[in-house]
This record gives sequence, C-alpha cells and structure tokens, in this order.
Amino acid sequence: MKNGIDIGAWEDFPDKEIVRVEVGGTVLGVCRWGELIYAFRNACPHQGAPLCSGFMQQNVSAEMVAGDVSMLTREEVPVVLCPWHRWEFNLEDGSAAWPGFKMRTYRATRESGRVLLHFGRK
Amino acid sequence: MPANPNTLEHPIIDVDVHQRWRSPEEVVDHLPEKWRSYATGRTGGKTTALMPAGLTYPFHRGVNKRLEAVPEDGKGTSFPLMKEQYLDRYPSVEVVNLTFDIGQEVAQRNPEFSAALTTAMNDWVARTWLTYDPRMRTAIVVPTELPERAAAEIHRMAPNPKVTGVLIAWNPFGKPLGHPVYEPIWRAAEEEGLPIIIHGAAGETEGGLAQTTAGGLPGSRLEWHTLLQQPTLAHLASFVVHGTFEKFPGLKVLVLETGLAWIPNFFWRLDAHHQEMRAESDWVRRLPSEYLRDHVKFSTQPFELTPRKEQLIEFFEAFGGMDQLLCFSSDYPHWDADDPFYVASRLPKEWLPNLFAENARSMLRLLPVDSEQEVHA
Repeated sequence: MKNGIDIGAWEDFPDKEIVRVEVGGTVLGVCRWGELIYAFRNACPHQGAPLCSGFMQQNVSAEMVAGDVSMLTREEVPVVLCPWHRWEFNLEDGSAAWPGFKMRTYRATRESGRVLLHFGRK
Repeated sequence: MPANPNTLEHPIIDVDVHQRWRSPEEVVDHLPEKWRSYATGRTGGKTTALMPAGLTYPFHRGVNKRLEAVPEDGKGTSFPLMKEQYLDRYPSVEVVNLTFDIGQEVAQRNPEFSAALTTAMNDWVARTWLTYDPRMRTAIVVPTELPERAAAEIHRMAPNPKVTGVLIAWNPFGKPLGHPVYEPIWRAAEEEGLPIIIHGAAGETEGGLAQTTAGGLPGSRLEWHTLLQQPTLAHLASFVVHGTFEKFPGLKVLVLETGLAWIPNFFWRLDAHHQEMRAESDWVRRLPSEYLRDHVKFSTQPFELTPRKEQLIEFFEAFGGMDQLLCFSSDYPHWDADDPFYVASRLPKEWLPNLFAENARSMLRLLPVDSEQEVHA
C-alpha cells in the first residue's frame, strides 16, 4: 500500500518505546512491538491525557486454573498504559476495559524500511 | 584474614546481622513480569517503595503522580512542570490551593517531632511554593496529637495572607474528629477564620498509624482507594452528634478527595436515624443534614464515573442543593487527577460558576495579597 505518510525509518522507532510524532498539527504516538507497529492519537478518551507519556506493555490478565487464579501475560496483545489513571488501551483496536471509551488508532505500515501512516479508516 | 585477628576461645554464632539491597532493582528484578512492570517508573527506575506493609500501598508504575508530571530526576514535584501542564493549559485558574503531598509526614510516633516537622513544613511552603506564582495559596499542617501546639501553629501561621485553611493530615487518637480532645484546634481555626480541610479521610490514608477503613485494613490500593470515604463519614457524623458545629458556629469543613455519590446516602440516613435516636445527643437541635449543608463542602475529585453522565446528575438532582456543596479540585499532579473540562462536561452548566469558584470562595480564607510582595510567615 502506497500513499501513506512517511514518518521515518523503521530504525527511528525503538522496540517497545512510544515515539511522539506530529503530522499536520495532530500529535500521535507511534510504537513498535517487535515486528508490529502501531499509531494512536495522543489524547486519552477518558480525560484527554497525553498518552505518549504512558507506557507500552503486554496485556496482563488472569485465568482460573484448577480452581485457582493464574496470571496470564499475553505478549501478542500490547497495550498502552495511560499516564494519568493507568487505564489500558489495546493497540490493535483502541478498546479499553470501561465501555464507551476507545483510544483513536491509526494504521501504520512498514514499507521498504520506512514507516507509513494511513489516516483513513482502519 | 587480618594479620592479627581477634580470636575468642569459643566459636561465635551471631544471630543478628543485617543486609540491604543497594537499590530496589536488585529485588524487583526477581519479581514476575507483571509486578516488575507495575513497579517501573517513568524515569526508568524501579521506584515502588519497598516499605513494610501498613506504611503504604505500592503505586502502579511506582509513583502517586501523573507520569509526565514526574521530574526527569524523579524527585518531588516541579513548579515549571505544573506551570506547563496545568497553569498554562487552564489560564482561568485563579487560585491554586496547595495541600502538600497530602501531608502524611505529620503522622509520627514521636509527637514532639511531629510538631517540629509541621512547623518546618509550613515554613518551607511559605519560603518556596508560595513565592513561585501569585496564584499560589496553601493549607497548613498542624500536629494534631498535641492539640494546644496545633492551635499555636495555627495562630503562628494565620498572619500569612496566603494561608487558606488547616489541613488535618492525621488522626492520631483514632477517634472521630468530633471528640472533644480536638477542640483546641477547631477553636483556633474558627478564631482565625480558617476552615478545617480533611484530605483523604484525615490522614488515615497513609502512615499506617490509624484505621484506614472499617472492617479491617484492606490488602490493596484498589480497596483502600474505593473505601476512602469511610473515615470521612465517621468524622462528619461525629462533628454533628458531638456538637462541634454548635460549639464553633463559624467553623467550616472542606472535605477533599473522597468522591461524591455517597453524600446523598449519608445525609439521608443520618437524618432518618436522628429522628429515631435523637435522645442520645442534646447537641443535635436541627436536622443533621442542615448542619452539614451549613458547614461542609466537598471537592469533586475523584469524580464518579457512571456509565451515563445523566445517571449521576439525576441522582444529585433528587438529593437537591448539590451545586451548593461542591468545590472543583483537580488533584494535580496525582495519578488520579481530574481534568477541569472533563468535570465540567459531566455536570449541568448552571452548576459550574458555584462549583468552579463561588463555593470555594465561601469556604477557603482567600485574603487579598499584593502579588509583588513575597510573604514570609
């Protein structure tokens, strides 16, 4: 897919770090998680916090195993942790645990060693 | 071995020798991933305090602050960051009422040290933060375990026009605050026209030296934070039943950071039960809720998150008069701080002038201050 906006080389985005990128007056967080790359609006849908000051981390939940709870970490499900109320947002679709609040996400792709941003519908 | 080691005839078994990690990382790095990431702060360090249980609950990501409000060196709070992230962003902020980092340091085993510490803390804020910006005002801390000393500290600090109220940061006796032992403090506050400010349930929050919640100490910050209103209910009921507002008719109480939706429940129950049990106290000559509406106001943070904002508004409108009881508070730079526009978006527009300014103006002591003149107590 061409016609994305070139926002830098792949190497400009260190693994598991949020990089603040300004595109046409809009501030975005762009972050790599291994070979995947994500982009989101730098505003928490809850109270507008600057999400770029938060953290990327793997999803942590728990499951019942043989009648006891067992911690479940899912490396394949990265989330952004909000710097204010510590809400977590799924980087794939922006969803949060609390209904009605969704982080705005954008599609980012890797093309020939460059990172492209796509503002259209995901 | 040294050339001439000291030897004893008998072997030694030393049963008490201590060791400590040089930094928390040495321990935290051995934790499972979940707790390691929980404890990692914005500045990269594993900043969760490894303190005995009862002193505190660890904070998610190691600090009690918004992550971007933590200075680069990880130390304390920063006025330049406050200016950039709060004052410049919301230029209509007219007054910032400082309340320390909740003032929990007052909770000391040694009351003399507590008294010395409160004086030092009050002098510190007068010398530093009150001089940084003309909008800065402050609550003062007092040694509540020594009520007469606390009264003296109130009278010492009251001439400073930037002092707005008296922060009750600790309940050392574990008695609800209507107990007569505290009356010297209320008398001094009333004489100086300063409200009592109860933050986070009067300091039963941290410090581990008094009851945090009814029913036993909770095992997590989630429980503690949700239950923070409990001691506040005990104090307000105590003020009414033991006549604090009859004895000190000019005394005002500002309740900070305990949420809001419990207020109708509490007022309704107190009024109803008073009808049944009024013989217990001669001090209660009016409906309990009338005393509370006359003397008490509540800060908005942490603002309850209901699935639909109309649900909370409908509840408050059924209660009535809530627009007279609420004072906006952000709680900046703490992790659970509320954005002013967010709070404004969740309540009726016609409530906002009272909520954002007028109610606080009727509660805090806000004296005119020459902004060019630095004031030292």
